[in-house]
Amino acid sequence: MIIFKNVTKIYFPDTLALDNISFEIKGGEFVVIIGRSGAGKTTILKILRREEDPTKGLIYYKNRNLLEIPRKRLAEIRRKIAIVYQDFKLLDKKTVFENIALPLEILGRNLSEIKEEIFKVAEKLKIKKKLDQLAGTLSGGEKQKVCLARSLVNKPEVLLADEPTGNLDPIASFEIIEILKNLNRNEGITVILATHNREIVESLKTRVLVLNSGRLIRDENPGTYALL
Amino acid sequence: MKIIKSGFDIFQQEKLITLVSLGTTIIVALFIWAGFLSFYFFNQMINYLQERLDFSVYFKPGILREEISKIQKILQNFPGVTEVSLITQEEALEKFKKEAKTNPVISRALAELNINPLVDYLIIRAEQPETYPKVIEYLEKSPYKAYIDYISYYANQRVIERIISLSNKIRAIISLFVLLILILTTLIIFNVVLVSIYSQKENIEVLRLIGASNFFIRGPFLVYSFLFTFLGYLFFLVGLIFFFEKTANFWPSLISNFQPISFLFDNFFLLNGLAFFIILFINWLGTFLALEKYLKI
Repeated sequence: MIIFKNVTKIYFPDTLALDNISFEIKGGEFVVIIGRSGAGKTTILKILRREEDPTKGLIYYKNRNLLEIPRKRLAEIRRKIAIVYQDFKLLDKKTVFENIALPLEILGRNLSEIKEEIFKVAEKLKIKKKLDQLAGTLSGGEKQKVCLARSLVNKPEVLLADEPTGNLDPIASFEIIEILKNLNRNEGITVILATHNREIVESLKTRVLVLNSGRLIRDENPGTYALL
Repeated sequence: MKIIKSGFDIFQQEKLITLVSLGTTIIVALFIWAGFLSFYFFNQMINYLQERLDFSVYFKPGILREEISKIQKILQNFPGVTEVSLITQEEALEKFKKEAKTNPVISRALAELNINPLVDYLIIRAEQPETYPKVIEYLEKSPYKAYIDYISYYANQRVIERIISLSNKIRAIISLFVLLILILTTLIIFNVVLVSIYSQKENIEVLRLIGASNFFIRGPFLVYSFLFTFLGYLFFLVGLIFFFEKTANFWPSLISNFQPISFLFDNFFLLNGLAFFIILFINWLGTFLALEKYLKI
């Protein structure tokens, strides 16, 4: 589903963020990318959504060369490859409902469709009671759930989670990881989780990519294509 | 609908920025109207000077009046000539007598003289002073040259040339002034737009990250710009009418016959439409350019 082939990223003027990285992720996989701060985890996720372009290398998503997709059509890809961030990126002055509704409004859905979709997702993530509350007034765990809900209403094929537990207490962190696991297991969403939290990695018992200073130093299952 | 609603939301949520944007629109409208009025006043001044410019062609004694009428008709059709009046020998004498009424020496000389010493002549007036040399050139080369005794243009040539040069200079200065106003207004608007979009930076980033198209992100800002431009201009217009009403007696002393309220309402759609669209265009252009930076994500 996702192929990174000899990808290098150098930030101007000479910061090497990724150094000739190759890997393949199959549909429905749960992959954890682990590494210290600055190892290149976020850069991989940004490249996957074309928030950044690689300096060298190729990226394929469902056999399509991502780098050949014109900027105007990136919005479609970003709906399929959703993301949740450590800092949530919610609109604090809008209600939870309005925040979750945004992706559907972008698609031009009518209010009844939006309501139906939001109630379904809110039910699943147990935030139905919070829908009328301003996003800025929520706790960290609740904010992350709203982020997840906002990503899920678009029915993404891939969910990227960039340090989603970075700002959360252990209980809330565990809750978010459980949600991610369920989404992967029950709905078949491919999940790529970037974290530096070893406890989470150990509890997940799933494929792990280890990054160090922009180099992929360990991958249990690199896939055949990436190694060609 | 969502885009329009979002535009209204920015208008309501960003109160301080909206207030600054309204104030900027009012100041910019003031600048543009200063440009309009300067342009109008200087044009009136140039027209006033130009209207007082003319020259006369005096004919030799004994030239038939039909021949003079022919020349009059030809000159009336000359490009740029607005008026050609024939002053007959008799009319010229009457006019001269009237003007000399207060001068006893001339009056006495005219009474003693039993003949009319004056001749028929044509007074030629053109729209632009630049036309006069062309008319003279034509007359000099025409077969009617032999009928002409004297052309007053040569006596007034320096004055006419000075007026031509002065009006050209004034036009250049006004154009420069208007250009300066446009540059200044563009800079002011651009800065305010940059600040207003900067205040929405996080919202734009979020929209971009969840897959909003450029149109979906730009739309509300264009609606917002329209809103504050419209409201700001409306406030300005109310203020302008009030100001013109209160100062109605002052203006005619500056430019004769200038009635500001009539000026405003006679050209209402042209001037206000132009000013409004200039401001809106610069606002939209600023919004478009400022957003480009954030849409690159």
